[in-house]
Amino acid sequence: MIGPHRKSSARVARVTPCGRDLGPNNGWVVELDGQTKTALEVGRTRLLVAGFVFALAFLGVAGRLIDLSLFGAVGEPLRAEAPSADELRPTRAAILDRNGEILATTLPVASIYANPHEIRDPVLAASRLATALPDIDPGEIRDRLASDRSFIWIKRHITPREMAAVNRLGIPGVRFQREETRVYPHGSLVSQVVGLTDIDGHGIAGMESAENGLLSDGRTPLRLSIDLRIQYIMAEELSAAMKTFDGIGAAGLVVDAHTGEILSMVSLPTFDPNDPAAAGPAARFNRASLGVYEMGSVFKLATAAMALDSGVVHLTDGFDVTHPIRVGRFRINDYHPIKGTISIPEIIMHSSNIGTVHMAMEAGTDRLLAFYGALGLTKRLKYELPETGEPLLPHPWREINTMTASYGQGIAVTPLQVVRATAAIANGGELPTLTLMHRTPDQRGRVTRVLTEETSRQMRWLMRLVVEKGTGRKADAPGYLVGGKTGTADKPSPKGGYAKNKRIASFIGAFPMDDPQYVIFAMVDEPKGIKATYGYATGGWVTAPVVSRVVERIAPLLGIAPRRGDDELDTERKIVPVVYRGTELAAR
Amino acid sequence: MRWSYLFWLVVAGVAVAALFETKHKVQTLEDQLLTTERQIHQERETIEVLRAEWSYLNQPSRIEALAEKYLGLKPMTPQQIVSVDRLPPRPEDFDRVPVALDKLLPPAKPQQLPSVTTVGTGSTSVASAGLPGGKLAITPVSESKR
Repeated sequence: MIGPHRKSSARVARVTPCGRDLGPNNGWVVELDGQTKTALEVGRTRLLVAGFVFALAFLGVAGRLIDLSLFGAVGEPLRAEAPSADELRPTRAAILDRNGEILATTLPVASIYANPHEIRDPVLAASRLATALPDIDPGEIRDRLASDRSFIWIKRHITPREMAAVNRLGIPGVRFQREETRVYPHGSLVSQVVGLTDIDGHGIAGMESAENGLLSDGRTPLRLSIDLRIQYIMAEELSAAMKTFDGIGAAGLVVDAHTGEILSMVSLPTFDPNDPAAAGPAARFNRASLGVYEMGSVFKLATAAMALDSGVVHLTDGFDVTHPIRVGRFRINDYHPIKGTISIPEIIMHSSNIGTVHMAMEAGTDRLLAFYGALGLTKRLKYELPETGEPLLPHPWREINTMTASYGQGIAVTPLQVVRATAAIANGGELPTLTLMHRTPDQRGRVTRVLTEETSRQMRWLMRLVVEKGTGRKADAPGYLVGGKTGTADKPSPKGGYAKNKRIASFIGAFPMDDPQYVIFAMVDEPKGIKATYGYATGGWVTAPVVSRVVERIAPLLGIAPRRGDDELDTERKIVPVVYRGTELAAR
Repeated sequence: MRWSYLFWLVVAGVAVAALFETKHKVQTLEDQLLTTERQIHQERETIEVLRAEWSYLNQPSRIEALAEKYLGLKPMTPQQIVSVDRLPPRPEDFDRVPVALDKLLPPAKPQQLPSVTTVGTGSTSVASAGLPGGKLAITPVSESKR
């Protein structure tokens, strides 16, 4: 395009015919006269304009070429084909236990559908389908295959095995639809913790709901603090106890006393999350976390810790427990009445209500309430699960409430709160933050000191004493130094007051008591006495043996070495020697 | 002039052929890539299914039943676990050093038992007391007395 111009400019002399010097760079302009001049100049201008336009266009093309070849990859789709909708949607992440065992995962599944218009022989097709899918009704399928519709489901969410079998039949008109489904390989074992998703894959209960955001966009699986083996052992022993004593429900917990990790959370009855429709509301109810119960004597540990920590009562003090306490129309009795004055260790050992009330009254309502508050017993517990129960406290709080609350009646809390408070009492005095997420020992979360190490040491000794010589003897597991407290609480009756034969039997414990690592809790709702227990359905008979068996089975899994004989241990056990009236327990 | 036309024509022809070839190759590769990616996706899904299957087969109750049926193992009792420093000295040392046994044993101190490794699930666990760095190995009394 520019060529002709150059040629014409080459012919133009540098000096005009009139002798005017045009200068070195002025060769473009040729001055002519008249019409010719005008025509030529118009032509040239047009050429110039056209050339300029074309030059611009080529520049544009060149620019685009450079852009494509050098920077072309940016913003270009990597695939020649757009990915299908299924691949675009991120798969919901899996939920694992602390050892990496899958608790929930999303799997692609096939569903079989058919177009009845394409089925030539519905009778034959139905009978052949029935050979591959034994659980379908061939008669019903035949009728539907013979219908005048163009789409029918034959079976939703089939297994890969069934899919292969149906594929092998090769019936024309029978097709597969790809779908996704949430699978819970361990079924009812962890259903209360893991929870559920709805049909669209949104979490609606448990950890599925609590960590919905993380699960639905993350590819990283969620690792829980739950240990499946411990969960299984706890569930097995609890359901055995529930069956033996004909209870209506049970709850069990194992919590790391230092990190606050929940290793096992069992609530019975339970449900199969793979078939949530079959689950009733009672089965979905998480008794360990959502249920609030009057816990009974397990609260005596908190009361004793409060009394000892505040310094108003010392281990060597004693109270007269001969007479029941009367306040207005209330009467506080002991389950096994004792005569005379007994020491603090004896009060805890024999689980004396009267003695505990004396301890609480010595310290006063304010101290008791403040301490229960510090232990997190008066407020709703906050951790991952949305299913947490709000404690029930009396309003207004009168003196009588202090008395009953000291031994765990008239105040209802969740089992999880009791476990957390006991962890603080046993672990050296630091209240841990409970969690269902896996933590390493250095990730302790926030801890609050609620009692002194010295008090905690005394409480450890008291807890061990209960199991060694008191009401919790059946909780002992040789070598693992279980300590704890039994609880037998009357259940409030719907008519007001307390039901006569409806109880909550529980045991809160920790092990090994010379350096508590784990807190363990077991509870059976409404156990009935049996012959083997002489009609008793108390914490000491119902749940203490559960704790003993669970500890015996889980301690090796948790890497806790058994201690040898007690005679060797006594030299090193961190105990407070108490001498009271020369009794055997006081002599260490 | 003609030659130069011819030359450019050949150049253009070669360029067209090269472009076609390259484009074809790219298309083939892209198809391969797509197939491979599909395969990877499928394999991943299969792995996920197999993992779920594995987890299902590892249900503690199932393992327990299988172990009872085939292994005859029982839950470990505390009596079965012993720390190495509690083992008595070797029999040959008895003759050389006539000291009472209890004096040979180290005084009871906070028990640093060797780590307990556990194998298995549920009630069928097997523990073995390991020797951490050989620290707990017994020094033969005869040597230390010599």
